[in-house]
Amino acid sequence: MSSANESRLPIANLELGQAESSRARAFWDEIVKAIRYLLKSPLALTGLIIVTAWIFVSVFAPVVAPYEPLQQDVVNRLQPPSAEHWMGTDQLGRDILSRVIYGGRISLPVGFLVVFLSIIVGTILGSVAGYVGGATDTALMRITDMVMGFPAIILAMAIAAALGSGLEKATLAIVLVWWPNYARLVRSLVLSVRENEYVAAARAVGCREARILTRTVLPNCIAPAIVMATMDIGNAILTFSGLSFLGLGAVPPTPEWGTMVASGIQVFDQWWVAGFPGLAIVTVVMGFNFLGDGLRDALDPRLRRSL
Amino acid sequence: MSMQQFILRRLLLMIPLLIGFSIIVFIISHSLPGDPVAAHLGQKSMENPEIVAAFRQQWGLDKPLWEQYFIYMSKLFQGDLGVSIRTHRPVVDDLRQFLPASAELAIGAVLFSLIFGIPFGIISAIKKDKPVDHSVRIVSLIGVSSPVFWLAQMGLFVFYFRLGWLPGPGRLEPGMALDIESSITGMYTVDSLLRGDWEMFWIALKHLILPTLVLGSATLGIVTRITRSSMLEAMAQDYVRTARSKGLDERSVILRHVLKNALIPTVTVVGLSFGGILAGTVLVETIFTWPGIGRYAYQSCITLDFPAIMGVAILIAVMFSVVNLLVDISYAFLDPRLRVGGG
Repeated sequence: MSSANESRLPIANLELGQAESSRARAFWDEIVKAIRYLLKSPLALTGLIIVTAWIFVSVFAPVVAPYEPLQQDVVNRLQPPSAEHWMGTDQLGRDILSRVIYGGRISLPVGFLVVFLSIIVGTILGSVAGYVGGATDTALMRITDMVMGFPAIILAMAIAAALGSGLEKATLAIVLVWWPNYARLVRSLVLSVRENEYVAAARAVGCREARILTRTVLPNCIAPAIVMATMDIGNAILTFSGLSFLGLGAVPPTPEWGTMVASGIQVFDQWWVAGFPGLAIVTVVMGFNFLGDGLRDALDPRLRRSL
Repeated sequence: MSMQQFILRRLLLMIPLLIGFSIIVFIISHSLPGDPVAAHLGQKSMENPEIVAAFRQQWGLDKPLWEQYFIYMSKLFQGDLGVSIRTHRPVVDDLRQFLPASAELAIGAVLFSLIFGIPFGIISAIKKDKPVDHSVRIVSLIGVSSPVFWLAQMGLFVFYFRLGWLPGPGRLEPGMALDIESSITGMYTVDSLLRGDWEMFWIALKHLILPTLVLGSATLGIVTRITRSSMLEAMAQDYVRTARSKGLDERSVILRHVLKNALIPTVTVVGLSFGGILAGTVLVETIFTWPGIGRYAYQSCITLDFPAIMGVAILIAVMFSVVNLLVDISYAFLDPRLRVGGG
């Protein structure tokens, strides 16, 4: 009995390994095709350029920014845009362009982090719910429903208010209300992928359930999750800037876009104080939305053919 | 399963959901690091242990959390949401006063997004890949990408401060007030119409325009996009080809065959964006000093006024669930395939 098992398993594993690697190859072929398609779509390309530009500017902020973001110059306060200060100066005479550039160093990482952490939490809960099923599934999905049964920013606002302001706390507050979307998505994907024959095949050759889930089922759920994540980074940034606007995210004098827009309320007629930081949010979020839109078209073969 | 059974089942399912939700919010609002005692008593009172103890006792903070929860829930079922620490008024009264202002804003925003979003989506789909289509897509993407608090500020700057076309923040002119006692719906535009007070109606409407447009901008983008994509999908169906091949003119094909099927996802999306609109009210109402639920929620949160936070949270969760139910019911009217008996 045991000898039979020993002699059969390696072969099974070998075959499975080949199947997995050919699937992986197919997956990468899809990615390459998708990228090629992406580069042909003007909208997605625009998004890619905007996002790349923002990442570049944020990373090299100390080199790119003309002034120090916190450097005050009270004599030159509230100057309109000029050759010296392209975006003008704020109430404390700080250069708005420099602050906008440094703002990317806060909003972009927060956006990535929120989505990344939400994917991890959502994937764990969603895949367990979908794969195990039964009471576990019901319990997990009810919790998901409860969190989703409420507008994200309002719940995040309550949590952030209770936690107190600060970057990490605001990020945590958003993640706590952000993961259910991914849990739902991954669960539904797992449910449909689970029915495929190659999953039955993996089970037939004696794979452990955990291995089937992580090596066979989850890789096939990646593409839709990536699309959702790309479009989501923009939303996460939007929500974060909203919290900061309300005074529940970044704390002054941190150069953060939402906080900067909020400070513009006091100097209503000096439009540039709020105008440019807001424009920064719009462009970043738009970049991610363009990119996400293009990615969705590119990764969905059905759509690709019809377009 | 009949329609009534379906609705009843959904209503019953809402109960455990709302109870679970109330527990979550209760825990959040009561046990996180923020200290409501410190938030409400001054520095001087905080140094006096007797005042602190009296405050704790008055608000039931000296009892264990689960006991506080059960006291809260038993009162809730009698329609008592407690007294707000900040306003010193029953939370129920606060909500009743502030809800109509938000409702007026939210209904306006939904109407705006539908009235403009659906035609935009249709035009975009019919003229697919033409310049019109591209501009509609870009404009709707910009709408989705813009932070409402920024749009609100820029809108006020341009239309109120620079051009003077629209009034500034608030529901009416400064100093003007509609008698709360004698109000009928609490929605100023509706009330003034019911009374035949045209002057008041015009003023209320003018004040409503800018916050409504700002609040509806994101939903407008979403409605446009989803109408476009579901129109395109419906246009590729066999029955549309059949309708065309039997010689129906394009107008009838689009309006009678495509649009009706394409509207189902639009309805879903409007229902789903209701949450986004509610969230938007927090920001829009804060900027426009609009005395609604969103502003109330925000002020309650930053002052850790937990009876008010609980009240607003439960109200919003109930509204959200009801809207989702309405969305599901409306499917049945739009799509006979989903109607009764089908499952």
